[in-house]
Amino acid sequence: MSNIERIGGDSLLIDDVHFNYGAGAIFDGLSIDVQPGEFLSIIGPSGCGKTTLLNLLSGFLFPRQGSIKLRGKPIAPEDPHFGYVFQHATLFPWLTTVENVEFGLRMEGNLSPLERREKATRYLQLVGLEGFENYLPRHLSGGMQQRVSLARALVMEPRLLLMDEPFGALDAITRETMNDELLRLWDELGQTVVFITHDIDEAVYLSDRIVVLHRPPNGIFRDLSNDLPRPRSGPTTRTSELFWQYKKELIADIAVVANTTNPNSDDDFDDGPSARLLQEAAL
Amino acid sequence: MSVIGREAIPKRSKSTLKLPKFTWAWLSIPSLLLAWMLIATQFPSYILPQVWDVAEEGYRWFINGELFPHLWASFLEEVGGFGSAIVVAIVCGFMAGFYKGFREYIVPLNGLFMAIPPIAWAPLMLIIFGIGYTTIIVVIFISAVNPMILTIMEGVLTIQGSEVRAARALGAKKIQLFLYVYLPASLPFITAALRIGFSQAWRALVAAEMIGATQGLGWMVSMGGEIGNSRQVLLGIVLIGGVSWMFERLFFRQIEKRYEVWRLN
Repeated sequence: MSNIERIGGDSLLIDDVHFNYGAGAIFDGLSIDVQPGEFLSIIGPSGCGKTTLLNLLSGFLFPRQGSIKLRGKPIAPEDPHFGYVFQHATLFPWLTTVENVEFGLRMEGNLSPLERREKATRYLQLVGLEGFENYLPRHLSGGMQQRVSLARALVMEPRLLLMDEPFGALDAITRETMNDELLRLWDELGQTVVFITHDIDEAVYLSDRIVVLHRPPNGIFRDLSNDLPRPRSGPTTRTSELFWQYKKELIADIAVVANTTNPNSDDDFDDGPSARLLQEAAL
Repeated sequence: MSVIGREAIPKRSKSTLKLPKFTWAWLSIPSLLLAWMLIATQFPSYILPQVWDVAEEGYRWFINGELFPHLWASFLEEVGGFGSAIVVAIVCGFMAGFYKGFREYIVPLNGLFMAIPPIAWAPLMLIIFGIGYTTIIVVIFISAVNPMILTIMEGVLTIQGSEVRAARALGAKKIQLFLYVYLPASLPFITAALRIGFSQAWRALVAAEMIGATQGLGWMVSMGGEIGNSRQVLLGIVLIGGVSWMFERLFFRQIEKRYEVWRLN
């Protein structure tokens, strides 16, 4: 896809971050150092603070203590320094596909309407949705909607991409296709990615590095460097010895983490993902 | 390039000029007219006139130009009362949707006013404002504004936080959030509120005109009753129903249909 330039990634430094909701501490000095262009997956049981972490990284929430630095500078919540892909596509149902992709450019207001349309069209092509510019979101399948959502984030050329279980709502086959798509895009654009998931296979397949979060406020349970060779492809990578080894380790980790009782009440958190992780751990 | 679910492409049906398919709705109005004609045969014309008598009465009012001042008066009152209710309801409805405190404050008031039939206000307004436009416009306003505020408020509350968050992540500032997210997202229920408000306003208008007016469709009906002209009464009723039905069908339903397209399953 020669008509899109490489965007590149920024380094992300999470330094001694403390955060709590009321009395319940979520992070008590969390530190992660993410390299420029690194693909980092974060997994952990429900209520371990995965989504809270993304909210902190995106500036929707502020750390009580500690700092988050992007390329050495503290993040500024007022300017969108990141692309965000949500679990559900959350497209604007009253806008067509291409208008959805244009949304961020329109808010920014730097480009003329014609330039905006042209750029949005290019990014739709990039995610494989050429010819669907004028469809309303409800006429697209779940996977296609998530592609639009991805294009909507990418068109802003963010050097940091935050993804909150983006393929969690898709069926297994579509999810694998989307995993390959994401790897292709990341390979081409080179952003730093923080990818949250509760799917171990997905984490192992995609990432350079996997962080398993412990029950709050214990922070990082394991920081695993993923040495699976790239480029990765479904049939080879998913059946390789190393893939299975990582998977086994992570399943064991999750089983330990999920069985550790939480000192704080976690009434506020739903237990969907952790139930799923437990199932997987039992296999 | 990756595989895309082609089955998701909606098929556009070709529009051809064909007679609409028969539905039982075709029979509702003709059967009503038939029943009217049959019943009317049992009564003298000055008590229950025939369909064609009323049609002839309508023709007479139309030809001598008497009809238009009445239609015009009712129209102006509806525009004044309903129009001001729209403005107030949009402002209050959005505020009630956005601010919990204002919502808690205004909802009991809406409930209270909706429990009182609007016509009960007419005598008081007559005492305050006298016979004329103001009285009727105030009564219309009271009856239309409350259900509209509630409808808009509930709509604003259903706007998904996720859409707002997505817009913020894409750099939308406060005013942009309102213009590009809240406003378009709320158009479907603003339309619904308009439809509800219009029919409430129209009922209140007719009732108020019957008590405190010297012209208008409601006045036509009540004056017809007072002078014992049943043709005029029935003509008034037909016009009241017809105008309202026309607005509902040709206007509000059409706008509403437009926005139904947005709704995700």
